Amino acid sequence: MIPTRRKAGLSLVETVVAAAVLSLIVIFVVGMIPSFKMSNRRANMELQGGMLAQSALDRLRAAAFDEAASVPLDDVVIDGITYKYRATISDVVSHGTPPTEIAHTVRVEVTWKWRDLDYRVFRESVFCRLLRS
Amino acid sequence: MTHDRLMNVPGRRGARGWALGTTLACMVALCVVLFAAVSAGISHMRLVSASSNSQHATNLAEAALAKAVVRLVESDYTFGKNGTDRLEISVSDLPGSSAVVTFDETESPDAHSTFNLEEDGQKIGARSHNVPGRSVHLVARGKVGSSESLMECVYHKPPFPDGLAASGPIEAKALYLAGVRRGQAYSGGDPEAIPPEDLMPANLFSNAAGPEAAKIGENCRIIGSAGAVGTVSVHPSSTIQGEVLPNSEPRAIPEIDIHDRIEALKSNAVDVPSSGGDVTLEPDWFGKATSGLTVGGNLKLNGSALLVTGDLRVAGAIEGTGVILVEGEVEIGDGRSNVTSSDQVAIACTKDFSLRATAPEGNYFQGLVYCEGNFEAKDITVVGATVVNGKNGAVGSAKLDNVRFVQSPGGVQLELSKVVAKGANANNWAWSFTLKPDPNGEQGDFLCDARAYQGDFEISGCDPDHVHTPANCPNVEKPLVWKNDVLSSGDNSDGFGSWSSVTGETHLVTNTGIDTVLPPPAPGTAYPNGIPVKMSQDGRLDLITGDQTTPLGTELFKFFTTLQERGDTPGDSHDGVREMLEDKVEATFQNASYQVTFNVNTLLGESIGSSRALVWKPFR
Repeated sequence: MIPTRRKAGLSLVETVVAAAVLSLIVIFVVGMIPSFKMSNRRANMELQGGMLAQSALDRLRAAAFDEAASVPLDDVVIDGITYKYRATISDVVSHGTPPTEIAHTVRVEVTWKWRDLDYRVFRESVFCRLLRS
Repeated sequence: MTHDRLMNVPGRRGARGWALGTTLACMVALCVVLFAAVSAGISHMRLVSASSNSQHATNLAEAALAKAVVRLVESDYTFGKNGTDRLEISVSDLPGSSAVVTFDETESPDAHSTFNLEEDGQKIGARSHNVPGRSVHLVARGKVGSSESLMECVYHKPPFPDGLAASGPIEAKALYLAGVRRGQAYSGGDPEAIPPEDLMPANLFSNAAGPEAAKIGENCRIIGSAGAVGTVSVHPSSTIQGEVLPNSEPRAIPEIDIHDRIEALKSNAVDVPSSGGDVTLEPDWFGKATSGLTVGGNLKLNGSALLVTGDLRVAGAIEGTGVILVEGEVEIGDGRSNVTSSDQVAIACTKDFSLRATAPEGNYFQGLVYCEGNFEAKDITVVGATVVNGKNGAVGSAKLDNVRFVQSPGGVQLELSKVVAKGANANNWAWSFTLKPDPNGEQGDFLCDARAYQGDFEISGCDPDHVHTPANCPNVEKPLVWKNDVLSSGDNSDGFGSWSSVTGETHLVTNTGIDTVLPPPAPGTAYPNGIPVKMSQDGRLDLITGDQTTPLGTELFKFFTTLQERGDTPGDSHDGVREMLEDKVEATFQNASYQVTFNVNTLLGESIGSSRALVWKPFR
């Protein structure tokens, strides 16, 4: 009868141990959920910001070479987040007599604020004055 | 029911261990959920990162293409001609990013660029793509992290399309206008006898409005089109094989700032006096005439640039290759007796241009003309292209009478380096050196032309007791002035009579007339066109240690040391020489515009905006 008695006792111990392990795992998983949600949200925002920056860069590229600086880039609100644009032109290359601007570096930055933190993505390329046909 | 019986109930027996089993199962399920959640999160992050990197790589590849086009324009369309030319860029705040455009097939067998700007026929480029004539196929590979993007551009630069373009009215009588393909040089004679397969259309266009903007008088034949903003009248005896295009949109007329170019170049120019006979310019150099120039015979350009303030009148013909910039009128009284493929002239003037000969047969003017006054040609065969851009009150009319005009796409390929020189004169010696990019080297390779002179002479207007600077010696950066000073100093003239012969090599010319070339170069190297120099971008020279990575410094140091050891150079000038060399090289790099290039055909072609990207897309 000793083995039977042992088995019966083991079940209670098992249950207690299992409950403890299960509780730990549940606590761990439940604890991870906000972190998953945050990183997921952040990744979404990065993706969104990157797409907005790329799209803005493509709009500037499509504009006439001399008008890239004057293309309007208005703020965009997606899922309650406001994405702001900032376009800068640098490294201007001029050529000829009189000097004519033939190339410049264009950088579009998209910034947003989330949970009191600032985020930023950028896209950058060089545009040259060139007829395309 | 006894305990044993209870324990032997099958259900109870199966229930034993239920808690552990279920817990394990739940654990597994939770682990799977956890794993899936983590994987999804990581995948999402990776996706975002990969998307971002891919966009950066494409942007970088496009940036490299744009930079390559800029390099092409800045190099006067020679970037890529050398099979090892390459360009690499990166974004500083994007670690691990780079984009490369290379013409080296061994570096990138499946994504190299191909230069085909100088041929009419197509070439096979990377991945068996056809590269059309007069084009460059640029392929850029952008990399960010593990993302890679390939972009391609076919940059096409057609030659100047018009034989004659004028801002004012055009009037022609007995004009024959045709074009010839490049490489099948028209060699003179009757242009109407050019084989049909070598003929190309050449157009005539006037930007004038109103009636008879283009008046094609009797006995004209134009193998091309005749157009104008106003009307085009064609005499019944004339033939236009292309189209007659009245009421057209105005053409963009190229513009050259002649005054600016003359000002930029004349500081190094040697005076060219008027002469009743022939005038031959210093070879590969700059000549200037500050109050007009009259040449009784022929003007031989000798590969030089001639800068004339005032009118230029040449009774004979203009021979050789060169560029003439004139702030005034140009009158050329005769043509050359033949056409040679090596001779090309480019003339730009701010006033009227007159070109005439006794008969069109056997009298040729071979070159490109840019005129800001009115243009007139009579009884001559013109081989080249003409642009009349009326300015300062001139309408820019063109009048052609009994002219045979053969439009040739060949431009003037003339490269002259503006001399950037320093001099030191301690009563008995002076030196200069010039750096220019090595056309056969890689980026950063330069050729150095060093010259030294010694004898009892002084540079005009300089204090002989001090090392000269531009502040205390206005002529210090005009080494050709020294030649005149040396020649006028009496008994040293024999040693200095061969200035032109030392171009491109490092020589020592002594006052006894001995021309001592530097010791021969080390085995495996040669100085056929100057000392090849590999410079770091900051241009520093280590003259003291003779660092082998700076051969310019080493060689120049040897050069001047030899002078000193011979007792020809005062010892206290030695340090001054070294300091000036270092200053000079640094200044050279700080001032990128030290090289002056002329290619009028390129200028014309570029100014009218005909260069374009035929293809700009991902490369597959």
